Amino acid sequence: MLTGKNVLIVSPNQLQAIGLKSILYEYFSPKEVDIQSEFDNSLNKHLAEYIFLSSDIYLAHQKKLQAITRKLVILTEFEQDEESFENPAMLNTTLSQTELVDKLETIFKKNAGKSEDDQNEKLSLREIEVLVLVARGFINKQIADKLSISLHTVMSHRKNITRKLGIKTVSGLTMYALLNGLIQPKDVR
Amino acid sequence: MKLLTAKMKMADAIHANYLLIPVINRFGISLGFGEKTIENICSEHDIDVDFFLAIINAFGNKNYFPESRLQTFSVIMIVKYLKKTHQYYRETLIPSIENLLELLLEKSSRKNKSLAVVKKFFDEFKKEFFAHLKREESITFPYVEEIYKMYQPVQKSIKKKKLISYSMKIYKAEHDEIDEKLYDLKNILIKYISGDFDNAICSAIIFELFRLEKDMEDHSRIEDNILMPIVAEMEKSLKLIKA
Ligand SMILES: [Fe+2]
Ligand SMILES: [Fe+2]
Repeated sequence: MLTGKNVLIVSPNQLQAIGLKSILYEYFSPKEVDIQSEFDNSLNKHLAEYIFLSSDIYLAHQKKLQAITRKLVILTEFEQDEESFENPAMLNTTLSQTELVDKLETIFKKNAGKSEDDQNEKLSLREIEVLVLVARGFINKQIADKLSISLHTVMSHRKNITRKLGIKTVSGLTMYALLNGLIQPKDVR
Repeated sequence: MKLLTAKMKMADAIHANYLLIPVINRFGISLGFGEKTIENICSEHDIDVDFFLAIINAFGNKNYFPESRLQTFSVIMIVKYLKKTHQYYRETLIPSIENLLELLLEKSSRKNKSLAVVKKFFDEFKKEFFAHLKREESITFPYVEEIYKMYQPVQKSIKKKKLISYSMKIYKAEHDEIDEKLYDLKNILIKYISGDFDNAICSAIIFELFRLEKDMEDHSRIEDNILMPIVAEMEKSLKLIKA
């Protein structure tokens, strides 16, 4: 769904943009929702995974927008047919709040890729190996040497560990490893 | 969240958001408001009502954060509030969490080793957090107060040599985030605590950690988005740094 993802709303209608923003925060759990009142060329660089656009902005910049690989949702004021969840998706802003939430849910679900299936996955054996070394006080470079993997791979393991466990700091990871018996207090340097 | 105004009763402000109680206490205001309005109480305590309103409206309200308005207030007022907040963390909130942790260790089975691990992590967090507060109180805030004095029109000619070598640029660079450890602590209690433990006390601890996190978020926002830019402007006009 939308959990942890960034959203950008581009609409000259601030009231509409703020309304959408508060619905997103209330019902879904986006990371950050930014609002821009007009189209600007830095859109490309924006981190948002979803970009909501007012229909006039979409029409005026259709060509440029086609190059953008992010998921687009166009804010309209009319009823759409069933196919309107494809990219770009359409959202009829004249609907009631309940209907809006339902439609948004459908849009987000349709676009939830495979990557989301492993959100609750447990740590892999390799990740546990990396975690134990982090908890014992080794730095990335040492871990790469010990496991004979590249520094880049170590970092990507660490990123996944943090994502899966929701623990950001080294001492937090150490605490996790201790609590789960992966290391003993005497192992901590 | 409802916007709080000068004519509103103080009691109603608390009904609207009870998390404001410790914030209001920081201004030296205690409970027992009766029917008095925010304005009444502020004038009784000699508090700038606009500043007070800006602080309580901005508290925990990410979308309402009147940066430009807050930047018009005196840095002395802002620093005073920040110091009071530090005092609240050090003397009230952290000790209260600490007491709960002691209680948790006491009431849970001695065999549960995981609680000692949690306590150790908390101690680490506390040490780091207090060091952060102390650094600001011994370096940053006195520096800001000096800059303010120099900035006053009559004193502009005063020699600048007494000033320690510090700047908002340094503050910005060293102003580290301590909230990550707090986040981890919370998350570990929520997800990974195990064995025999007192669930009610543990829940109370998590509740307090959330409260601390929210308060700290607000506090850091004032330091980063209000204090830093105002003082940086003063540095510029005093030609302490190259514009
Ligand atoms: Fe501070
Ligand atoms: Fe700080």
